[in-house]
Amino acid sequence: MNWAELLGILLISTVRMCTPITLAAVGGVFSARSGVMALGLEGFMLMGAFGAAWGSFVSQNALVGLLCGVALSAFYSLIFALLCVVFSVNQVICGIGMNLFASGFTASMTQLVWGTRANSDIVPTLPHLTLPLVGDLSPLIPLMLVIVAASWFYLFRTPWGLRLRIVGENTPAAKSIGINAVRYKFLGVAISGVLCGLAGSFLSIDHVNRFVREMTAGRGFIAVAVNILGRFNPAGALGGGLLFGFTDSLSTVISSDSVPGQLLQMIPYAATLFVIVFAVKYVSAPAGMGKPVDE
Amino acid sequence: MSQVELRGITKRFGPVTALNQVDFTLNDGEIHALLGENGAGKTTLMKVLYGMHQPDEGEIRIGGQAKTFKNSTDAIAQGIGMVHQHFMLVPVLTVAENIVAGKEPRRGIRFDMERAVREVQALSEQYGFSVDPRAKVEQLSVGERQRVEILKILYKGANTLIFDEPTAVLTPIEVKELFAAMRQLKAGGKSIIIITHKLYEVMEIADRITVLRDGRLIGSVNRGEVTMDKLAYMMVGRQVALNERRPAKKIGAPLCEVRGLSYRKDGADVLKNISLTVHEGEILGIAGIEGNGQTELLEALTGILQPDSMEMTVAGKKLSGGARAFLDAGVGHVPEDRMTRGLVLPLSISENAVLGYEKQEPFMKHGVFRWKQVRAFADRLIEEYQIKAPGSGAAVGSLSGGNQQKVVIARVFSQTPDFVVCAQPTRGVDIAASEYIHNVMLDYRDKGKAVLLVSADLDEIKALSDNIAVLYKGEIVAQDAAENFDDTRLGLLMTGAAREREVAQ
Amino acid sequence: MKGKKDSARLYGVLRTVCALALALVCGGVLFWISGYKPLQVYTLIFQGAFGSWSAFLTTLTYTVPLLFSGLAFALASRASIMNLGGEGQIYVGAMTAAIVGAYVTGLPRLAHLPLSLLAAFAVAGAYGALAGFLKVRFGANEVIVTIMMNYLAQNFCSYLVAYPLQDSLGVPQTKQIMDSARLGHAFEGHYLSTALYLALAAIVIAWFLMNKTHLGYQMKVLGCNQKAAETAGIDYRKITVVTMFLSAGVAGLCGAGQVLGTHFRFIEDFSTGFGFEGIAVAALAGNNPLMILLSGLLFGGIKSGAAQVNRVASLPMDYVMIIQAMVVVLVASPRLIDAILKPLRKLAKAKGDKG
Repeated sequence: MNWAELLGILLISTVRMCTPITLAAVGGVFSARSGVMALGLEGFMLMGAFGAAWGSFVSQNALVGLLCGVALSAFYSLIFALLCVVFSVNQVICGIGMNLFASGFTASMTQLVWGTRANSDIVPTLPHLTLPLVGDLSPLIPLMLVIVAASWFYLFRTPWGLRLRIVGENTPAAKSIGINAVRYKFLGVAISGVLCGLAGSFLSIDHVNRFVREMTAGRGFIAVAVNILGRFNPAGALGGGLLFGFTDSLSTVISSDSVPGQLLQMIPYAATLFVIVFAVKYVSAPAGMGKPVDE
Repeated sequence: MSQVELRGITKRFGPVTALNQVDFTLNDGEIHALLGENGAGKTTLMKVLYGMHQPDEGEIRIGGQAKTFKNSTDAIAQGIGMVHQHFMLVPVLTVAENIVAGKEPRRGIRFDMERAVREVQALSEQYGFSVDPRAKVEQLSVGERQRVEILKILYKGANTLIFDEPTAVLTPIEVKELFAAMRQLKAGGKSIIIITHKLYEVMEIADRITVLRDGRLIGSVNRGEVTMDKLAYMMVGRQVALNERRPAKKIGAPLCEVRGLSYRKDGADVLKNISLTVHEGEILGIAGIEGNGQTELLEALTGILQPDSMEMTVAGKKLSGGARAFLDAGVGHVPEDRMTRGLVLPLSISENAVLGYEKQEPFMKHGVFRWKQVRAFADRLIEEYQIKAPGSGAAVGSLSGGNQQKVVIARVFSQTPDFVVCAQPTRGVDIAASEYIHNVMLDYRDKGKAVLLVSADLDEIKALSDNIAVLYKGEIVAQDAAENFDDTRLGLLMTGAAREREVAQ
Repeated sequence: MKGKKDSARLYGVLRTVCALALALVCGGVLFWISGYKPLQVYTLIFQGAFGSWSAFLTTLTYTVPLLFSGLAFALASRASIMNLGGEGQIYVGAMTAAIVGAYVTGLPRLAHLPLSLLAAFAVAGAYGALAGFLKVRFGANEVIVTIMMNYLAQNFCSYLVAYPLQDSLGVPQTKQIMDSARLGHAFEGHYLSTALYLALAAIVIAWFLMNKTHLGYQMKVLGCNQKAAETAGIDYRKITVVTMFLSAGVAGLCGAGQVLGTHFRFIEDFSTGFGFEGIAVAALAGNNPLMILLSGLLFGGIKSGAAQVNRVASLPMDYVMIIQAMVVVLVASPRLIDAILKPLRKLAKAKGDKG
């Protein structure tokens, strides 16, 4: 394989692997900007991945699968919002619990539906676009770019985006001017659920063709780090997503003959650790993040 | 014609009745003071009017018609606006964004920032407020932020403005400016309610005064018909001595000396070559507007913060190290915020009573706690300092503000430190507890110990201090005997309009 | 007044019990949806876990790692640190024990076994202390840091057993440890190891540490209010790092116990998520070391019983994880429980008034 070819593969792989992380991270932006800590992204994604595979399996139609993935993740995120926003549950603990539940739930259901807890049967995958120059392309990649742009516009150029940000910065202030803070927090978390649903679906019915136990492999947490790195801004999330897409694709591109695969797989996690340790200091989170709505 | 009327308002929180059958009437174009102690129900009553609380009984009438407010949006729609004590602003957003939020000018689905800036500019000029609509709120001074709050509710079309303790955070000069602004608003046809517990202010600004005590209406009077003493009596329910001074009997030798205290943060001087001496039997008061280095001064003097340079001796011993070393060397510390620094709210009174001193005998022996001794000690403090608590095992967070503060005071003074750094000792504390705490401090001084008092309440500084030093932008700009200062002199010094002492280099 | 305090405490216990009951009921609904009879399944689980002496001993083998990992999480929680790195620390401890147990030779049992345990405690502790250090030095959120360190530890251990430490070709495990590093059996005729006694000792020591020593007091104050701790002369950095060291060290013992007492070597993926299960154990116990004994036994029992049922009725073992996750969330949701209890309390009161 020559260098140009390798670079081409690396580039395509980077864009592909950046897609789920960016989608989840943009979801995290909405959640964080509305003041809810986005520690449940991993669980939402896993639910999305499972839902998509199940829907695709049952209907034998990948688009129905995509809808199922998004719906399951969105529904799941609403439970999270209910607990955190209405019942003031500690958002860190609740996020951890949601992730654990998603692990247990998807594994149990995999065994129930397909008879083994390791992975699902092969299911139909999303049809790809064929474009000149680029070639074969997942439709979720352009969709992701549209979502990044639309999210940025919504958050920073519309009155509703301004209100969502005020809710996240200072909930009492938002309430004092008659903004329905609870509704905006639900909205923020629900959007994170929808986007994580897309991200999870990408993993199970686009990137591969089945659900695999724990297939998100920490990408939800990586998305949290990307979210911080991108300063809680959708455009920043795309930048951070590309960086992590690159580290993720390294392990698929470099042949495992020269370096053991287990070590290559450590790269994204090490990179996340690096970001959290060295970038976090210079980024301030929305001031109201993690605070219950009634204080 | 009466514009706003509250009739027979009762509000309960669980078993507590915060408001009991309270009537309140605000006439058009008047400035009406709502007077009462902490916990008398003033803010609760106004939150009912502003739609943030729903009354259990009673009704709200606007222009003679009964209204129900489900939330503050309903109240805003009826022309009622509130300037909260803790500003409801988002520091990272601009002035214009803060003001128009909730009623944003739009262009299609977009938020029209240009129009927002123009409208805010016009509004602020109309009332003679000078604020830059494009500035971020985090860059503004406290007084400017308050003006943004006022503009915010004017923008929403408020005719009735509620101010919740608006002067608590202001300097004497800013207070004058605020009062001028209030008179201007009144001249412009607005009606104003000012929530306060400060009698001087009431006498200066209010047309009419309504007094609340323990959630009940005590009475409504016109200003011309009352004296301060009468108001104080209505407010507290007994005769009180208003800030009676008790000067030091004998000021002795220097007990605590601080030389050359400097601290820079992010390239700016926070504390600049500060030198202070506190003598035996003296209370030295630090006057100054909040944010002029008080917090850093306190932290440096108690070892929490490591300044760039400082030489400090207490009773002849040189101090160095961290908070641990300062505590051990006999520096007592009553922190400025009991909730964040002074107490651990979820823990019991006994666990809090030894905080910072927990390693001493008899609380701990051979590295093992002796909880029985700790409890006995806490029980003794509860009795000695008249702390109202169900027992030493109760969580400190379950006590009232005054009793929480007494726990801090008891902990610090019972260890008989040579030098006590006392910050905001009576903030958010009712009058009875304040009196008690002041007496503890004065008695302690009379035992020949040294006390440094930092307070945002200028009246407190003037009442307790034997000497006063004025802190402005991290420098001591004047120091003199307390009786030599009057309000004008202090006001000029605190705002940097005058300085009487050059900093020795 | 004392009565009031007691009734408040009683209500707290009631809340926790309700949270557990609710989790079990929801688990039951899941069983039902999946085509099992909930009551029957729970009965089978109970019998499978506690039905006989040997079943009970088997339950204890499931319980022991949960005691360690629950204790690890509770220790850190006391200082308000979320140590989600239990899983990774368990791997590090297990690998350390496996290496010391297999490659250090010529020592008597009296020295080799303690050395293996101590090494596991120290190395895993250091791995956790690193997360604590990153928190106090750089302000790095320990939740994400410890989770990333899980993946790093797991992948690295997988690398070790795939390459340098692989015992026989193609099998991802280390070679067997020496006899001198093995824990014995706790009871005659059952494979339950003496790691049980180690766990019980750890619980007692942790209880003493938390309630009777200066370190425990400092952890508690720091956990409630960092600024008040600072004001009282407590070194926030030191306590955080030390707490993480102890917490991770206990997690390391969990791994070491499995290697030295059960598998006698490091096997890839030997942990069935012990680290995360510890969160549920600690949550149910309210981070109280002595209560961990009970909650560990409960979850150990559910796992052990479910494994029995799995053999006869192919019940997915991962249901246990669902119940655990629900316990974590529900114990942290007092308001939700209150909302559920409110109508019940009213009903009880109405009845009480009548009768």
